[in-house]
Amino acid sequence: MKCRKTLIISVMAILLLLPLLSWAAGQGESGKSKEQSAKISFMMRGGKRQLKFYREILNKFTGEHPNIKVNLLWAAFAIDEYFEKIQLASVVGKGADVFWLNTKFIPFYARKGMLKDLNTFIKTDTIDMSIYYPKSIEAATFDGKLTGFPRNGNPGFGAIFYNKDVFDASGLAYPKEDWGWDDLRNLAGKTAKHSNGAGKTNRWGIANLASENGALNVLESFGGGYVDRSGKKSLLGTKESIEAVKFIVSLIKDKTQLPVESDLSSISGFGSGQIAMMIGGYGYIANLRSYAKGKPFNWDVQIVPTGKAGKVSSASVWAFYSMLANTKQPEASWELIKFLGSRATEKAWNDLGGLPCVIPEIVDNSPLMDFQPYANFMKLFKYAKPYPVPANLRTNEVRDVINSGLEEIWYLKKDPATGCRELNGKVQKVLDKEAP
Amino acid sequence: MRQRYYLQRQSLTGILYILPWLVGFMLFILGPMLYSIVLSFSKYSLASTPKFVGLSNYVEALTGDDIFWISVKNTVWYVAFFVPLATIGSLALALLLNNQFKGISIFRTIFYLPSVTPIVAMALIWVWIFTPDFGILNYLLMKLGISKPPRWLASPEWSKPGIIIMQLWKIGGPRMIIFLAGLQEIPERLYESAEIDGANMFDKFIHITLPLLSPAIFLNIITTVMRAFQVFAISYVATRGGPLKSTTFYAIHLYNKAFRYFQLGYGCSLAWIFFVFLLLFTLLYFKLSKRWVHYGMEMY
Repeated sequence: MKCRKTLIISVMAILLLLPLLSWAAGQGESGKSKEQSAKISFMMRGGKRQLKFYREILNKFTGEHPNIKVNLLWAAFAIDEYFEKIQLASVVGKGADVFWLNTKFIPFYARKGMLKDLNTFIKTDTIDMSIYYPKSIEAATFDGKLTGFPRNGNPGFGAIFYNKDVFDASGLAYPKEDWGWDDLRNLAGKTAKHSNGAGKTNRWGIANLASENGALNVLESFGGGYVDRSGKKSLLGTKESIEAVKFIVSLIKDKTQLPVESDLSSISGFGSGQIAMMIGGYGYIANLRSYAKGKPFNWDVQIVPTGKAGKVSSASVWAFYSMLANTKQPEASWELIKFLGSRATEKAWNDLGGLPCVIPEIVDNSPLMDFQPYANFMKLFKYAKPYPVPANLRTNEVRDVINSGLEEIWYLKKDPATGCRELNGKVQKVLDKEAP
Repeated sequence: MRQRYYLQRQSLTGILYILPWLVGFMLFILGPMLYSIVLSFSKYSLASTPKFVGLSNYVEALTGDDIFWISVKNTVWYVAFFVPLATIGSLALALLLNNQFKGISIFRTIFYLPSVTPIVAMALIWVWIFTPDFGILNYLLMKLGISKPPRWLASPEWSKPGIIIMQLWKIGGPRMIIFLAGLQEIPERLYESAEIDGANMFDKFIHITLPLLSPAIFLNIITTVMRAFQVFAISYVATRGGPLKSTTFYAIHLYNKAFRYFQLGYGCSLAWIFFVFLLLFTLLYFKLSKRWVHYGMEMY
């Protein structure tokens, strides 16, 4: 009986010890494997074209680095939700090792200490950073630390797209590079078409000025803006900002600017001739090109008119590949970043025809430059200004306050002067708060 | 003694059966709820450690947050119109589907279908229907002679009614099923007696159907009110709280504060203000219900 009891106890003890022994064995194996292989995650966002591009790039990468397994975490949703997801994932310890960031949000992560300084890796591997646009390096540098490796440039939101067929039919000359905002107003007025005693608008002269990026362009060109470059002061109450807002409102009242509540799509509206001109950025180049393949029409791009503060292409948002500060695989993550930011990958990216890459030599010699609207769009690089980021990192909050305040003005619920002054106070209130 | 042992053993078995749920509830509901009370008295941005700030989040919400009162107003407006419309709509549909004829189950299934449609898909379909210049709804309204139809989700005046219409599309869901079950519980003999006494359809509905259906009405109203106060997804997908904050409901404001502005502590305080309000409302509703809810056949 006693012997049986001892046997049972021994079996149970062994059973209990088994998981422990297998865990210890696993530790030894994984410890060994760590030296040989690594598993990292890479988080990106975009459409189907970008997804296809990154799948191919990662295949090439794993071909060259068979010991590094990359788990691609693709986010197809809106850009704001992408940043929310990164933030939440990082906090709960599920952050990707490498992820995409841009100038609107990189300060938040950089100042919270969530991003690895890439300078050490660059020095060790002696990477020649002089091939990249200096602006892209500056934008990712915080307290001497490089928190993102350049991925793409952005000439900003200062392109005026114009439908050449509409201009030809109206007997108007195309806009010239030295034009001003009054010229834009004249052309918008002449190209707009009304019927029923102006009761119905059949063609809008201009679109998108009453949008977050479109209005910022006008405000900055007039000498005003949303937030100053220090990120501490609201500029919405300045004389220049009010003048710029008045300018946009006058176009809305004249029924030359497409109203904010309209459901007319910029691309099809512009392509079908219901919109003569529109302000925009890189996204329209590829979309209009694709639209024109199905329904051919003639169009081109002119750079933004000159205001009191000269020419400004605002909302220039540059993008980067960043590394999570507490990644367990810094070497493997760096290998991936190095590969993604390499000349070969940047060239492949540029050839896609979306946002230009960050190597000027590739951009300038790209066959895409033979396409006139694209070449004209690239001239905006000279006037590009980054999107203003609040010093207290309350980017979303400030943006929401600005957008809802301006919305009241675009809906003509408030006159520009009163609306801007009130909005100035509200924005300043948020800017005066401490960081969240 | 033996009986006591038997009862103890039975209780233990019962507890063991509900243990998985109990553990899940403690870990994933009660635990986070209690932790959120602590967070509501702190400043916490996810990326930093919580810092105790006393009652300041609550004071800020009630006195210094402009959007708080806008969102309360929008939510109350929504609840005030949606709950009666949804309850009456579901009841009317249940009365219609309570008739017995060949193929009724097919009709019941068809009317139930919208309630199982994912909310995002539903919202996107309705955004397309409501498109002011190119949408099918305004096209039909113009065909009917309305020269200037509403601009629906693009207009601050019509966006809330638009959201309500989108939600009413689901009146054939669980609310209607509860009404249908309630209607089928009412004995036929009561209607027959009333008919002998000369009661018409309206009399029968007022004096028999409504009183006997009052427990189902009570249950449906309370659950609809709870859900209506939490309206979020439809507005988040279709309007993002706009235009001009006209569809910024309480839950949208809470979400923005907590997850877009990373003010988790403040977000928790908003959640607890909401919880207390709903609790008081429910208590009051239960108290008032004694006057008009009749259980079982107690009155006959």
